[in-house]
Amino acid sequence: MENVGREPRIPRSWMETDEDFAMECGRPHRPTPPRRPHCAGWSDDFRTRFDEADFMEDEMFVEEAVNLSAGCGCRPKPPVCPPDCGCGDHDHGNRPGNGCGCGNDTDDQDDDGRPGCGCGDHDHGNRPGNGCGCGCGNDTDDQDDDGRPGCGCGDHDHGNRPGDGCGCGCGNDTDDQDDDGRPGCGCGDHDHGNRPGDGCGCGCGNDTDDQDDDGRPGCGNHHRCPDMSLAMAYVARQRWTGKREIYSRPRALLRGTLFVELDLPFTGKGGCQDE
Amino acid sequence: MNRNEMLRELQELDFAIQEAVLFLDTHPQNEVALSYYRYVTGLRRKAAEEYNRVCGPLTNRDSRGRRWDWINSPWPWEREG
Repeated sequence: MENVGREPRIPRSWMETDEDFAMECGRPHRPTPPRRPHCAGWSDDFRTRFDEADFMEDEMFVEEAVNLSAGCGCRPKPPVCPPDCGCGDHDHGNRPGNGCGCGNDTDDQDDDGRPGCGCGDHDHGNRPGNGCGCGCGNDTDDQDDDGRPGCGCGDHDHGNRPGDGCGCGCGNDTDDQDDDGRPGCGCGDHDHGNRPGDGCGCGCGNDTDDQDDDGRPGCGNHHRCPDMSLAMAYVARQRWTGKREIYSRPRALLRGTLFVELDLPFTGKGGCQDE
Repeated sequence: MNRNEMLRELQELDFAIQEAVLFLDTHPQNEVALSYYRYVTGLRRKAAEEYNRVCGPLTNRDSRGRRWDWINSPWPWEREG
């Protein structure tokens, strides 16, 4: 079967999350989701058909698909590995999005002959989003002395930060000071440790007192509604009490709004954007 | 005021009225908004009457008198050449 040159099918939730998040905060926060393997004999056309119900009508595809999934231990539903991904001994069982990959290098040693992603000794086991990406490894001693290629970000610990994946990052700036020479994101002293979705993006800091008074650029949305539930959309109710909330008529026409608080010109900065 | 100034004032008043209307659509009980709406609509009525008197009809519904003076130039959107 010939490779028909189609784009690999990345689950839609990944694309929406990455693009939306990147748009909001000015840079991607997660590594690109792993693509399906492009191994010899692995046909994009076959993979596409296998994902769809139509393949059940074609006995050849059914049998082959069953054999494929049994042979490499992959689940029949995405991802599905061909007989030979070129990846050798891989366990894909617990790692979403890995597809063919880096294996389950549980002892974190590069001694088991798994080709991995060419990243040497990496443990991708517990880091969501790392998938099979080449990465920064599990740099547990937080020193840049172990020869891991990393992302060129020096000594970074991505271990506990969801969404950091293998991205270049902000490091684990635990003392919350911008004095440790980590390149970070150019965001100054930020702790992204506990904030889901911060990833390595420029950020919201660790504004623990939940006040917008500490000069951190923030995303403008982490501490202005402290009592609000996460993942819910709100529209603040506009008020007009007669206390200078409106412009004069000439100025209102110039600004495009009668209301001072609705005068929000687009500058491409602020919020989560880099200054 | 000349013709352009009167038209500009009418634009500003129409814009303020539209903003007040949009606010009142979601806040129909707001007394401040209601009083502002009544105020600017009154101003707008006076400004339109002034324009009609000085410069001719503002719209084809403002024509007065025994003649159909709407077709007399300039129309409000025309600029002097």
